[in-house]
Amino acid sequence: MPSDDRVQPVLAALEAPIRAFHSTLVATAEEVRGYLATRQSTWAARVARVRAELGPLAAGRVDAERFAELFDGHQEVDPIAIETMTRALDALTALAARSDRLCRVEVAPDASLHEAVGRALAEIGRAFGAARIVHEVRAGRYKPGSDDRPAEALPFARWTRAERRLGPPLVVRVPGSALRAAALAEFLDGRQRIVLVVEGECAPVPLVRLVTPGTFVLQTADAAGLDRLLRWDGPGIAALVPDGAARFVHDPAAGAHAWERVTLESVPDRVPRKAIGGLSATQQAEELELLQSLATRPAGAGPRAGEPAGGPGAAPGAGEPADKLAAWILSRVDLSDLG
Amino acid sequence: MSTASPAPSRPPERTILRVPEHTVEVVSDSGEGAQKCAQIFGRVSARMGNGVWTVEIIPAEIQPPPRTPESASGNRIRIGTRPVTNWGDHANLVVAFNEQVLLHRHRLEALAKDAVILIEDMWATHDDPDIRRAWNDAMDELGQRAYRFIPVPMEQQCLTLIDNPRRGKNMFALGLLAWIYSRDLEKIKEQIAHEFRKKSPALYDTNVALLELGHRWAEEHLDFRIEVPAIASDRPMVVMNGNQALAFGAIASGMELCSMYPITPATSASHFLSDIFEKFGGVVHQAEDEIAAIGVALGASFAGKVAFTISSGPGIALKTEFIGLAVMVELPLVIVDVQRGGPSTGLPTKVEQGDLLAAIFGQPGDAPHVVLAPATMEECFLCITTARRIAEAFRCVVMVLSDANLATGVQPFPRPAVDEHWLAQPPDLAPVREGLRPYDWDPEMGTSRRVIPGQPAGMFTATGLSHDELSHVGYTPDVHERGCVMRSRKLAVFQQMLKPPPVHGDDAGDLLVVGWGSTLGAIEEAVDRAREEGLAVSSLHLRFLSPLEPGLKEIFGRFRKVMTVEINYSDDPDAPFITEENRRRGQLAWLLRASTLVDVDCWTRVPGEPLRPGKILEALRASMPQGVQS
Repeated sequence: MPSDDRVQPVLAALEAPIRAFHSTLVATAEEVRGYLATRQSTWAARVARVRAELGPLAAGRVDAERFAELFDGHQEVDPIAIETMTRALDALTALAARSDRLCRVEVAPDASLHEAVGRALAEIGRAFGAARIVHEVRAGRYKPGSDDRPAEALPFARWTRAERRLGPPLVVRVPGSALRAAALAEFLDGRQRIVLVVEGECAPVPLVRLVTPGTFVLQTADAAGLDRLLRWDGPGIAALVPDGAARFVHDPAAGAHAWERVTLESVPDRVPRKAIGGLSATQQAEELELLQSLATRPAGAGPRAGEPAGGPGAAPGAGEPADKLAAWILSRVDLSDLG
Repeated sequence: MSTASPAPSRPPERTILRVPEHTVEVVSDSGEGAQKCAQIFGRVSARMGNGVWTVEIIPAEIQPPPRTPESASGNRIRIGTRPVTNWGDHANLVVAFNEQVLLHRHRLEALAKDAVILIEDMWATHDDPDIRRAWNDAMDELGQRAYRFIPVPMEQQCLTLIDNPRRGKNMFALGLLAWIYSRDLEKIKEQIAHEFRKKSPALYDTNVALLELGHRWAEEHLDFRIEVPAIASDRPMVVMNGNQALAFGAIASGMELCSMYPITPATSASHFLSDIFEKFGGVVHQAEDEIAAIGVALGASFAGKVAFTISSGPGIALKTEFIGLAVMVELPLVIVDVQRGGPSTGLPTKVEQGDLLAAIFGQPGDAPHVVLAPATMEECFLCITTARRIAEAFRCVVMVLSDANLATGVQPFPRPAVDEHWLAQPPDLAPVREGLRPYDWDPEMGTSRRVIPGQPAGMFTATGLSHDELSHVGYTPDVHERGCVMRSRKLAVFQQMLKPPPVHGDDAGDLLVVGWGSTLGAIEEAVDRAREEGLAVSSLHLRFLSPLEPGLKEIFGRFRKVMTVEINYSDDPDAPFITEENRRRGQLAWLLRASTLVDVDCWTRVPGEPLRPGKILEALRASMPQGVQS
């Protein structure tokens, strides 16, 4: 697939969470390295470590050797556990070396978007698998033979709630013809973010089936709006779509009702006439209708959150209970004959 | 006093005074920014390679009446070619924003007899006759000394750039100092940018314009410059005050929670920490009061986290009950006490070493714990790592005694080479082996393995009541006796891991001075000066105060007299009603007398300011044992 000049701005917009995940990988690897070093050391090295732990203020003031005699009683660690830890360290180091490439996914025209994203997340999951092993060994709970495959992928379905909040965002370049976005629903949990860079023609509202109350969904033209995706403290998906597709945002923070949360920027005026991305023209038309119905304010509904009652132009205070009561009384009275 | 005559508009010749050290004071009314001016000057001097020690001059009230001696606010900055370890004796140069704040410093004998004083001259010709009278009266009093006055039209000059000189004179004054001491203007601008990084760019521009105005004025009007050569360090240096150092040290030591309640002079440490702690995985929790603050820290420690709390004397008093609980439950806990003058609210902004005995013995019942005291800004950084490791190893409370002098003073020190080992290992969460009890005391040493609830088989009921090894409440004599023995014994074990303190000077002689905490630099300077005079004086500075460092009695035995120097109260032996029997002594002196049975004397003062080496030197001369020429 040729390079897409929209990917770099997306990566730039997502730099902070990508870098944060990378830092976590590096720090965890360092910690494991330190742990292994202490478990495979001589008495002199252990005294040196206790001396270091006491810090420079204790140098010349506290006898590190006597301190170590008393307090260096770490539990014995199974050699198999040490070997598993070493493999976990290798996995962490290898993942850290991949930097932001770990967060980039390319989907071929005839490939499955779901499988490609699932594979990428499972690869990232190796880090969590490795970290789990490390934690178990350090806590003395490691049992050789169980969960000792840190080098293997860990599918998203097996990530814990905490891990689903820690995973880095994915940037997925996908042809419009392979864009079956609804299948990504299972990955939108915790704080997982996915940004699709769509190549070529696609369905007009490929993401609308992913709109759920707690998921941030954005169809947009460029990376400019991705800061809102990052601000949402929950799962989110965005797609950089071609000109013919709708532009909208579903921001869970914008209100309690769907019409408050969905803002339409543009909707294509042409009716879909051909199948694309596995969706027939009828299905695409239904998706468009679904989007419009989600965004429509029901009759009698109050103002959007943060909007004055009666809409943007309403008089201040119109949302007050007394004003609502007055409006109701007036609606019940025919004033046409009065003065 | 020399006549307060205007300096020549363009001096034909300039005197360049080259000195190994010089002391500057900048004083203004509270709120006029003298502290900011002096802080920037001090930091830039340090960055240029000079040794620096700064001390804040802080009024006791938040907003005292302006133009009164009590309103004096500012800094003393002692700069030197070599490292500077204390604030010295007298200021050689003063920038004063009015004559009343200058009077305050004069009355405290803070100024050298030949000090050069750059003073705002607008008050001499002020419209208000009361102000003119006050100026004249002050000048009469100040005239008793041979100060050299240089009137500076600060207000008039600043008005050419800004409408409210009260908000800008400090940068003008900084410009004066920058020219006098040949400070690097670019470094100053960088520091201004840093200090005002949260303000608008326009404010930076105005401050720089005022700085340059002051610099220009000095260049056109002053007939002297002062050169304090700097020796660039071959090691990278950092410049910070003790509270910043404590905060950085907490991060470097792997602390996870700082639970605090604001109190002067400790607050700035937690404020600083709250800006950066989260980036390192830590949390600053501001509790509803002092008791809750230590309670939260204690709870976090119970759950296996690494926590500390920070306060000052009155706050520590409130925490007393929980300190006792921490001792009884044997939870690792670091408590930082940034001491101020007491008792009660006392002198909130002023230095004192008055909490020593309260820190060691201030809890009801027998509550043995470790007390250590950093002596420099660098040690403020390093002490938290040491305190944490000891607290966790011995399942005990470690109190760190800093003070207002360390907290607010600034000193450069070599950039610490942070070691990942300082983070120490996380708690061992392996299943508790069968038969291990929550307090499985080693019968000889009193130490026991820490058990954390959540660890498989680690659940137990922690109680402040007297308890046995299983943490079961027990009121029988043997249970209480055994618990007391075990909690005390581990301190003895720790004391045996300590090494005797080194002696500064000769290992034997006529007089040994013993100090602790922030007085280190002043004491050693005084001792060095006494030794240059031929006196056989040495000093020794303690870091561990509970348990005391070993070998003291033997060291004391090599000197004819032993005397502590401290910033806390003691009775003058010659005062009315004071006898050898009823004399109240310095707090370290009490401690040393009790533990060594040596007749340790003391010289202590509570001036609300750091001790001056010259005053200590006078005390040393006067305290030499009989038969020694002083």
